[in-house]
Amino acid sequence: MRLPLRPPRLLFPAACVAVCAAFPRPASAEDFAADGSLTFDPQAAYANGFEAQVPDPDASGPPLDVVEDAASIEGSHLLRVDTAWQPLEIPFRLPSAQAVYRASLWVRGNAIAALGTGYDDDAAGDFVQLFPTGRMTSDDWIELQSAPFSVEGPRGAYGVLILMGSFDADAIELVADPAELFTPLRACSGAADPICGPEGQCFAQWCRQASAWVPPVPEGDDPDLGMPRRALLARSLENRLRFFFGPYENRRLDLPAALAQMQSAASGGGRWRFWNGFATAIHRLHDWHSDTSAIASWALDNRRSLNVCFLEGDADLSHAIAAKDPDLPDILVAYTGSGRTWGLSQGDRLVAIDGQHPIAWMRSLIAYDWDYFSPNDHTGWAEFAERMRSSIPRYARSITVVRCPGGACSAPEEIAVTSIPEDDPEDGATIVRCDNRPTHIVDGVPESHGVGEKVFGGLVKGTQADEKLYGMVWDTLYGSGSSDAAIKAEVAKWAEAKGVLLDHRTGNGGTSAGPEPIVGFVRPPGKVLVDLWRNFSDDEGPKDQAEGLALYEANKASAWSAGSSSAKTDVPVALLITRCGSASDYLPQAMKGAPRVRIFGPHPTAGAFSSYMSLDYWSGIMHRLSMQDAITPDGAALVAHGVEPDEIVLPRQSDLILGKDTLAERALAWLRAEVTP
Amino acid sequence: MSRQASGLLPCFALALAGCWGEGGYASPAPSWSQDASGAETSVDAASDSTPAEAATDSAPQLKRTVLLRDPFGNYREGDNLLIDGDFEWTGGLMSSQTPWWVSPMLISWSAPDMLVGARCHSGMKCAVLGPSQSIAGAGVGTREPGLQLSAWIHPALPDCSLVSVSVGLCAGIMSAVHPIDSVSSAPDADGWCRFDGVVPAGTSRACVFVSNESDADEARVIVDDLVLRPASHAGSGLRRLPSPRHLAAVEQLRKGARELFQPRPPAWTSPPPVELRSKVR
Repeated sequence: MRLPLRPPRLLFPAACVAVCAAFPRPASAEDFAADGSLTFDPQAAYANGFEAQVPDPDASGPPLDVVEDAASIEGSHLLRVDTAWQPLEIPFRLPSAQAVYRASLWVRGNAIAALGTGYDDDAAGDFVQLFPTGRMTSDDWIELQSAPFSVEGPRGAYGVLILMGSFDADAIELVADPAELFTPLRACSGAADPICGPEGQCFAQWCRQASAWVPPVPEGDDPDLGMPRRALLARSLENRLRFFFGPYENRRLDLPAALAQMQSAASGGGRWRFWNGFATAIHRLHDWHSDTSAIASWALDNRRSLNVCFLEGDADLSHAIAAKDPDLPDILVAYTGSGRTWGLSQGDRLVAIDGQHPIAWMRSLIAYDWDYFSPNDHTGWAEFAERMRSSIPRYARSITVVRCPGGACSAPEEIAVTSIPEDDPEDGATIVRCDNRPTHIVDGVPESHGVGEKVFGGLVKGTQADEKLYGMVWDTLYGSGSSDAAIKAEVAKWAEAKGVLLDHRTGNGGTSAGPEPIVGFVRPPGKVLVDLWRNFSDDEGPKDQAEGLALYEANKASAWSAGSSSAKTDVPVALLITRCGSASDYLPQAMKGAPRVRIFGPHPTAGAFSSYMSLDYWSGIMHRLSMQDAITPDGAALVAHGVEPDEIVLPRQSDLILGKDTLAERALAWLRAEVTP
Repeated sequence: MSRQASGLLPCFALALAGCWGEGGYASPAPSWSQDASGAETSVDAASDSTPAEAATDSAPQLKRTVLLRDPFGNYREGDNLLIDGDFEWTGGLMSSQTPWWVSPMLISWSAPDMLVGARCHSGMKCAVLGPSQSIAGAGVGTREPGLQLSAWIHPALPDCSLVSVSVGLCAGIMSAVHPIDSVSSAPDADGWCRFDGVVPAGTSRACVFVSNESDADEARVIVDDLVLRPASHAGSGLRRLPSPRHLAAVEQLRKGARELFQPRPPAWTSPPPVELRSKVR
């Protein structure tokens, strides 16, 4: 869903006069009077003390809650903000000159404050977040301020103040800063396009001022320690990874690169280099739970959505046209939605993105894409394949495809992203979610593939009632709530089943309680693993199996046990896996080796046997950090070692072209062969 | 460390340029001033007096003073064994599985209430404990014999014994906790109690537990700027015993930790609400 910024109809606020930009002066920002009241910079390009806020005539939300309050920092009124997820938006016009601005706002409370900018000529807008400067008052006002950002006033520029949280706000002000270099709006091509500069980022074919997405970096030296504050902050962040990141194998394989990345970020450059370096360091941990996000990456839209889902497969129809990569799987169109498909169809092959293998290209985004997401196990790629549909419009220049209508494949065709028309909001497109399921094995699953937290069960499609083959499609294993109840209800139906087909090809995880009803159907009780929350800052895990066994023995009282004494171990159960992590690792780990279980998938699960902590700096830098590993009764550390399928099956291009689901059909064939007559 | 608006002559905002350290008042870029000892300082706009004290017949009623702090808090302690000892990274949109959690728990995992601004000891954010509330902060242990904890806590009344602080295993059922005493029984001039002590390092992950021992309605306790570091000895000396209330809260907080230490879904499986997405084209 797109919610583009609305050009405001507000007249220029009183404090903004058209001549502002003609007589710029240094960005001195507001001042404090002798009594501690704040006064605006008289040359502010925009200033609003919420003294007499006129509601936007187009506003669909409630009027602004402007209240008279003696504690206001400017004037006699302030704005009371109390939002849930729906942000408060206050549009305003910007002067018609090219200029660099800083925005500042005073708040009382834990606030999220940002600006969206846009243009009447429909040129690309940008996102600017305001962060604490460190300036605050004795009565709890704190100053938030943005980085300098350029505005192309002649294009007809407008801004929207975006506020979220429960807090008081007062004195928003935009002041031109002629000392800063104006950066013109530029088109760009591909994530790494250098035209955007070291503090910019090419996003959806336009250079964005990425430095305005992130907080400032401390400057100067710490007088006690004689070190640059930037280096001290970098060391603190580096030690966050060194001390608290838990997975042993990823510590060995990946942590050194993450630490080196952080050290590089400390060495110099602007705020984007620093914070993007920190985000990249987290990506380099190669950990399913350790991810990054920022409001900026949520708020920025691209104008060409790709309503196509990709998965790893075997392009058996087109290897003569485009050779298979020796190491990486082929990428195929799993299915598409209706509209915005860029002309692609189920079974077509994505040969390259910007000339690289699609997975290699996705991995190259490690230093650009804050939504970067990878498995702990270095041998799986499903996380990358699943996200291609959103990464291509944001970061790619072109894609190379092989179309195979009716099974007849044509020569590779390169499609420039900019050749795709921008989305028409009125085109009636039906957007699909990507869940690695070319078909659904039971009735009732929405055509949008929007499984979410729902559970779908019943007889497997295409089977006879007297075969008594039951299926279940689900994504989450929360272990509580409605999805857990639905799983238990489905398991109860299997009492009469002769075979069960479980489609967990999107496994979002949950808690260890989530898999238990299913595991209880397939195997007797037993200890599966021990969770090892990180104990020591220098814990590198067991050196060998003997140490691993000792560790397990020392902790086995808290082992995760699963299974049931009433398990129906005579019923064959097939489990389909593809992009599965966390509790969705636990499930196949506990099922594997059970008497009548067989696991089908293209590669191991993510190997993310862990939990995490969440850290959030004013919602401009949000990340999680995995702090755990797990160990098996035979002394093996589990994280980064996904559960291997019993049968490796890749979706075949020749099947997809015919609308067939290779994994599901293979698993169903096995089930039928296993079923006791 | 000087935190309050002290040590400088009254210095009104309009004449402030000389009152700042690097960066200067006129610069909109963040800058952080220090006092002579290099400690974080916090003065500006008016005087170091309280507003009531500053008001005279000839001067305007002083509404507020302006302070300047490092918005990232105390990161100088880069070897802090607590994940977020200064609360600067706790709270916000990512409000689940935060490094600090509270007891009693409303549903399951809850971050403590956060305070933002000058009343914190360092940085921008700190935690506030309501009557009889307790919090735990997650950290890791050390191979060294001991752990030293330093914490700044502002009780509602000038009595440091109204707060209990301890270090212990994060999740171990009924395992020992080691109390940390305040340096003095009464708060400093700013109302802060400094808790500091060395305790034996455990054999597992370390957590810090803080309890507001008062159940009076207005008894809010501010907690900030905690540093846990390895110590070369295990500590010694008599400490006051943890209160039964504190021990009960520790067990509640450990129960929450045990629930946390389980596999969890990644962030992006719960995508940001649609209201936040695609704001800027």
